[in-house]
Amino acid sequence: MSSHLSIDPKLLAAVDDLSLLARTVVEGFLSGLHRSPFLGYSTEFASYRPYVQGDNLRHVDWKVWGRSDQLNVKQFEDSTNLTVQIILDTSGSMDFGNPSKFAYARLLAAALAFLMVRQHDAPGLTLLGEHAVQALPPRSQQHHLDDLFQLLAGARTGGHTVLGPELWKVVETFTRRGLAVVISDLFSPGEGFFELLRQLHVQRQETIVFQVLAPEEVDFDFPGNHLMVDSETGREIPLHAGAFRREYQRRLATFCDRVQEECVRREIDYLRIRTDEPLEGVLTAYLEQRMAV
Amino acid sequence: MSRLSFTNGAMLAGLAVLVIPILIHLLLRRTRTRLRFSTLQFFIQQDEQSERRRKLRHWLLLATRLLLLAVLVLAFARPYLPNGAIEDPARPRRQVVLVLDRSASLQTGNRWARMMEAVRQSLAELGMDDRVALVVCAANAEVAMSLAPPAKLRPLLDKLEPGFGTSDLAEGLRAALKLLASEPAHLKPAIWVFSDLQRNACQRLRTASLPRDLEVKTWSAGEPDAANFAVQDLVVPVESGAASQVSLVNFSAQDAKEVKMDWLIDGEFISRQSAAVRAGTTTNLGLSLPALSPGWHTAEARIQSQDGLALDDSARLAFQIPDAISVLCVESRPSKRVFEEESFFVVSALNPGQGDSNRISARFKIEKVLPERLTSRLRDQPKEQQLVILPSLRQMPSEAGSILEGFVKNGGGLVIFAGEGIQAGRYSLGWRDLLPAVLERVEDVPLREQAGWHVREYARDHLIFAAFRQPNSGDLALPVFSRRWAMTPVESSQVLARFDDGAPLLVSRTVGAGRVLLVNTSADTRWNDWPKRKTFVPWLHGVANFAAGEAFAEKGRDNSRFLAGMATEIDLGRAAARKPFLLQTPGSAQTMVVADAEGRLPILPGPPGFYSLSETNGRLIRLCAANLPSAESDLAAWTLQEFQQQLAQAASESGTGPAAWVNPELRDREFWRMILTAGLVLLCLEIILANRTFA
Repeated sequence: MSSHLSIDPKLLAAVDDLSLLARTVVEGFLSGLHRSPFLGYSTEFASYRPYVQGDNLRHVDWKVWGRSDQLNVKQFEDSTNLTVQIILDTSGSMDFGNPSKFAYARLLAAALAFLMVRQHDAPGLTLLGEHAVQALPPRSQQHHLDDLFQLLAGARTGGHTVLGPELWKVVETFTRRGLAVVISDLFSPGEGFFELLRQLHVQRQETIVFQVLAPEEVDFDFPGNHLMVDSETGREIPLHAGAFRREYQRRLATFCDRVQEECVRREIDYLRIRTDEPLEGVLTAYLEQRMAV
Repeated sequence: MSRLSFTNGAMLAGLAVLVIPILIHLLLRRTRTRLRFSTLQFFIQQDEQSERRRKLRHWLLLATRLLLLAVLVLAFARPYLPNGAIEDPARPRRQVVLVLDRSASLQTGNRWARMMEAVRQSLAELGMDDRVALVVCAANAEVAMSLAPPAKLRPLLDKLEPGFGTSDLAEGLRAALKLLASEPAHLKPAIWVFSDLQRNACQRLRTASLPRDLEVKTWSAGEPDAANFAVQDLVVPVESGAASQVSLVNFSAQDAKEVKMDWLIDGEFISRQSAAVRAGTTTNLGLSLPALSPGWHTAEARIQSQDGLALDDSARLAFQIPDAISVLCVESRPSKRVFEEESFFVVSALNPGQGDSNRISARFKIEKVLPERLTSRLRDQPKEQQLVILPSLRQMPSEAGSILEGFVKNGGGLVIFAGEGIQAGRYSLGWRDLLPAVLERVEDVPLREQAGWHVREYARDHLIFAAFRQPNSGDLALPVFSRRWAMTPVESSQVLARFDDGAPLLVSRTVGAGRVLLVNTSADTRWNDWPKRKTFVPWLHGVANFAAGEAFAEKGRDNSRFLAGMATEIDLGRAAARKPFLLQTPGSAQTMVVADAEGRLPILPGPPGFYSLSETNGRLIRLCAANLPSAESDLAAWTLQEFQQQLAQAASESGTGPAAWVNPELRDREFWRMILTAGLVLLCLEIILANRTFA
């Protein structure tokens, strides 16, 4: 199942049509979920599907059974019942890796948004960079999705990750209880991201954190002496990467563990993603979270 | 503050290699790959410390390498610290050695006064904290004052006067260098030369071995072409009738048409001569001296000239006419016509004026005596005779042998001519203890050698043949001998001349205090033609002088000729040991001098003139003449440029630097070994730092 969900990084880089990509990813994902219980419910009939063990017998269409002698379960389209705030990190640190973490994260955001609209959820988008901007408020219309795709396609990385009052003001607008999806590498100076998670918790947002890491960051396989340049600040540090690799990996693991601990403490779902991994796990995690809401 | 100096200062140019590690450092820095990374937050926390350490270590490594190279270069430059140097950089203290020429040529005109004025003006340039020393160059270079404040030198300069000898500036420079080397080297050294730069005083400048960096300042009082006439090389033969000679030298660049010269004997005018002397040439003038009585005499040749240097306008000589030697000549064939007498040639040779009424004083006082009166004369008046000459005697009194032996043993001289008529057996038997050889038989020239025998070899260094030492002074091979005695020299004898077939011609034997000479030929022309040759007279004079034990004239002549300003000594013999004498010098009172244990009397002649030495009772025992050294008469001087060129060549040929002439015990505190040790430590440190892995 995962084979056709995997996105070739080269393909990802070559295709500019984010909506097409998102649709492809989600359709592929959903087709594999035909016997999955993870499908939303709506008040309007949407379609039939074969009965599987565990389905509520109340949803079996007995008329159809009478005509065709087959058990089908009716599916319904629910009206908008959940707002989802997608917070996408566009800082300079996301522009790293091949494919870049930002490209991966952007596709993830698009796929999630597509899936959400199909589920009658209302995805909104907040871009997090030097300036925290609530690009789009949560909406569930189809044209809203197009606007969201356009915004994502036009988003660019750069600058510092600023987690400050400007962001908190945006977070304060998340007044309706809903779901917050944070897509970021979580690399920021100080305790900014932990503060963000705290703020979301205060705003009654069920939060799911996708920490996107590039394989280069995780493996840190750079033999020899290098002049390391920070992608956000431009700061330079001469380093013998080979000699420092083990220490770096230890520090990265410590950081990630601490993020995970913090998420667990705040009952936040946390998923660490490498950009060379398929999106299946990400979408599954979302659906699990969605059902819990 | 100590001033660091370097033995090989040029090596400091090697400090340029310090650029190399800096370049390497920069080049290696640029080769590091730039890697854009998402975040450095995982590096910073600890790596800021490690980076600081790494940077520190990096700079330490660079500094270590730079320091290592600098230390190596410094070690090769061989730095040293001058001993206790305290110096004002604005005006370095100086130690100056004045080399002052006091040679006689500085008495020309006002050279000395001008030079001393220049010395005083130069001293005024020195500060109170400078030090100055004085080396005076006369006959010898002497340190007149060691390094001291300049004020101490001024009184000494007031007392200085020009000398009378010749100087060697190279010797003065060496003395100055030695003086500088013996002093601490923290003062800037310099040598100031004050001289007329007379050429002869500068001839050995190249031997001075001057350091290249030594300041040598020169002041000259001389002129390149100063005019001067000089009277030199006065020779007065003590033999009567011989001509005296003197040289008149023109050191000027112009001819002198007429130079008048006066001859003075014993201070009295004798004669005046005039001569034309061309520029740069020498003219010899001669004068036959009148007969002089035995004793000390003075001769002086003096020109009337207003030239540069007055001291050399006279040449002086003191000489002694010795007392006549008393000679007793035995005549066995007296005749009314003296030329028929057997002793005619001998007597004529020894005293040419014998019998003349107006005869001049002769070296020998000859008395002819008959054989039978010889013994009585020697017995009655043994002390009056110094020499006995025996021509061929056919008969001699029986006691003559013992009397002659006693005469010779007491210091008398005996000359025997072995000619015709000698009874060989009687001579050999009766005079066995006197004769230098045993007579055997008469030999004639073989028929095949009709030319006769000749003198083949003789003792050229012997006093007898002293007259023949000079070239063209007579050929002893010319006389022809037709007969002779075959003889065998006794063991204690010495053959002084031989015939061309090796047979002895002249044999000598010392008996007691006297000498016996046997001449293997006749005293007349029967057996030879020697009396007709011009070599006969000087040879016979030599024989008579030697046999009589006289060599005084030769000694006296040598010891009576001094050079002004040059220390010498008069040998008066052991008999004069520790005795006091009165010395009269020109223009001053008599002074008392005492001979040393060997009878020698050291003397330093001052101005040219006559010096007399008398016993305390006033009896004159020696007259001496001091003349200016001939080299001083040539007043031609070098220019300052020529002098400096010579000094520069001396410095380049010597190739010595300061380390070669400054006393190392007083100056050099070299620490190149310490620097090399530091270099080794730095090398170890560099190895440790360079091989450290940076995190």
